[in-house]
Amino acid sequence: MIRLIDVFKDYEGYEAVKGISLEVKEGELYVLLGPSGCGKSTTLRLINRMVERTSGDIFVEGEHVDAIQVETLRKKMGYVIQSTGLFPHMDVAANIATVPHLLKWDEKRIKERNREMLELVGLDPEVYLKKLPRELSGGEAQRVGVARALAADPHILLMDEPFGAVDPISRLRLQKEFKEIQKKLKKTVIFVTHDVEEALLLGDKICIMRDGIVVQEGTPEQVILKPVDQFVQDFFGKEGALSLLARFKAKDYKEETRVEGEPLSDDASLKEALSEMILRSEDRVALDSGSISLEAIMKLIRGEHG
Amino acid sequence: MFLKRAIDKPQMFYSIVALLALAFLKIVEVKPNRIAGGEKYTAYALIGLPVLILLGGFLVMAVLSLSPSRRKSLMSIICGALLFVLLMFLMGRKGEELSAGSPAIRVSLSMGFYIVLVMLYLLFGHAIKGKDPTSRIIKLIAGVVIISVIVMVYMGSFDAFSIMKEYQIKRNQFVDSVRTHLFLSLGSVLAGALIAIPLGYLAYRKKNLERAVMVPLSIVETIPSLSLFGILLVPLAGLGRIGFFRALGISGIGWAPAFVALTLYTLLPIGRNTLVGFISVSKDVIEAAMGMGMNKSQIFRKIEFPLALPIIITGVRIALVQTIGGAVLAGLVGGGGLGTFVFLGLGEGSPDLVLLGVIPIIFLTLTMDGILKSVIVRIGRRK
Repeated sequence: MIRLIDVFKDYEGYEAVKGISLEVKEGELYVLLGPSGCGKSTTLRLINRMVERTSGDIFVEGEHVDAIQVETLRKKMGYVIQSTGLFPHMDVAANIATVPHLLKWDEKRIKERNREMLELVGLDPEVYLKKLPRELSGGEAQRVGVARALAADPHILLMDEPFGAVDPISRLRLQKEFKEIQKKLKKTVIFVTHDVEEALLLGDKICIMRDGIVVQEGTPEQVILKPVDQFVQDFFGKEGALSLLARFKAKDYKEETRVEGEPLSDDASLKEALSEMILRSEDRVALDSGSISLEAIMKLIRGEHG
Repeated sequence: MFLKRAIDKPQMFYSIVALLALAFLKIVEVKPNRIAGGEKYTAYALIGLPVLILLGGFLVMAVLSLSPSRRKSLMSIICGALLFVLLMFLMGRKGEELSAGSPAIRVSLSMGFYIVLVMLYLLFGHAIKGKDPTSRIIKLIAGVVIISVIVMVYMGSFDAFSIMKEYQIKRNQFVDSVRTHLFLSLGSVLAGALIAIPLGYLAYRKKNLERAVMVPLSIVETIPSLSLFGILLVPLAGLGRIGFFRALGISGIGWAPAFVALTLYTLLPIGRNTLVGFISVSKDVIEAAMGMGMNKSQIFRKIEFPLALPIIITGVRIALVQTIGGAVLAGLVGGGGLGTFVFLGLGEGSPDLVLLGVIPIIFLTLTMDGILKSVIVRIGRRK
């Protein structure tokens, strides 16, 4: 659990963060969302004290961050950044083992953990353990970045636009896979992004920031359906509501009725199902052994409004 | 079919120049003794008909420049190596014959030989371009050439050549000079590295000190070396009057000013490369290291220093190459080293004596350069 109480950060006259209070529950994926310069990255970096706050209090798992030695604090939290920050002179294995090494795990345990982590992020250990970062594609490097952050099994994960530098197709795949990983591991994650779709897809809770303050905090449904002001409404735009559908899997709303046509893939979302309906001009599209109907989607939406 | 054929112009040019030099220029001068004037010979006059093989060889090299084959550079390297060894062999044998008549006879190398030598060097450099210089086949060829020359020297093939005569006369001094030269250059680079690497790191750590550190180093580099000896003369002479330093052999002339001056000149290349090496470590990498809980000393040991190291060693390499050449000037202030032969040769008007100093310097430079380059490659490849 992470709690920020009235936190300020003042950069020589420029206030990046102006009195933020928020609480992240255990096992929750908490998204800090906002335009660039809104203070979301700074807020994240205040938590592992990469940036020292000017005033206010931050508690991590009940302990005040100042009460713990700063390196110890950081080792308790996985940290993933946009540029991956992989160490170019170390192979993938050594990169992943960074924190376990710092924690002086024994070699055997580190080796096992390396393999486990690579498998978790969908990379074949035989192929990747000995590769150098410069031999990886952007998507692979970011997977290794996530594996490295998770290696010492921290309860908390801090992610600063982790998929921002990856091409759109790999990004969507990484997002979906990360969602699966998170479902399994139930880490407490603080996730910074400016990408509305990413926030809606991944977040359990979304905190919208602007000019160093919190504008609105809530579940994706709440922020989309009940925006507190024009800024939030404009930020999500008219398609925001559509992106909300990306959170739901089509197969969870499957009906027995069989229809003609190519079935959607197993991990297709309601958003993809809806767009298929538009493309095929049908109100029902096939799934693997069944189908999804426009009516089912509407029912879900009405439910959310109610 | 002759259209669009890419001609390897440099290779064509070097081969033809070598061919012409060998055919028409004098390659040696034969003197009855050290002082008397001699008679100059062209390759044909000296060696006779076998020179046709050599000329043919260079013709082949010139024709190879027209070939589109991918194996062309390798064939050129092999051909060039054979030509070089053969030329040395034929000249050596002729020299032996000449000196058999009169032991005082001296054979000096002339313009034609030097031109052929330079062209061969350029041909090698050109053919090797784009190839991995550490590849086995190239190492093998270089090894064969070097060993053949060493064997010929050892067998006394070149004893009639005046450079070998000079060597025979000055053999003891030669070994001493090489040793002093190595001590001066390696020692001053080591001392320079010990001073400049911490200075470079300091300039990196403390941004406001960067100019204060780097500017004086650049200024040192602009002082001509002879003036630097002059500047050092006074303080070192003063230091030499104190018993302890006198016991170390420090005085206004001798090895001390040479050592100090050479050390000063290494500071800029090493210091600047250290600074650049550390600056070139990506900020994201350091951020990630910090974010994962490394402390300052761990970041330095595990991240910053290993990443900066190849660039720092490149600085050391530049400094060493520069110093091995620069150490010649130690000969001027009585510091010893191979410069002694160079300045003695210049004074006596004996180019062969100059060569006796210069050839080992070239050899040392290439060897040290090669060693450090392979160290850098090895560090870069490390996983």
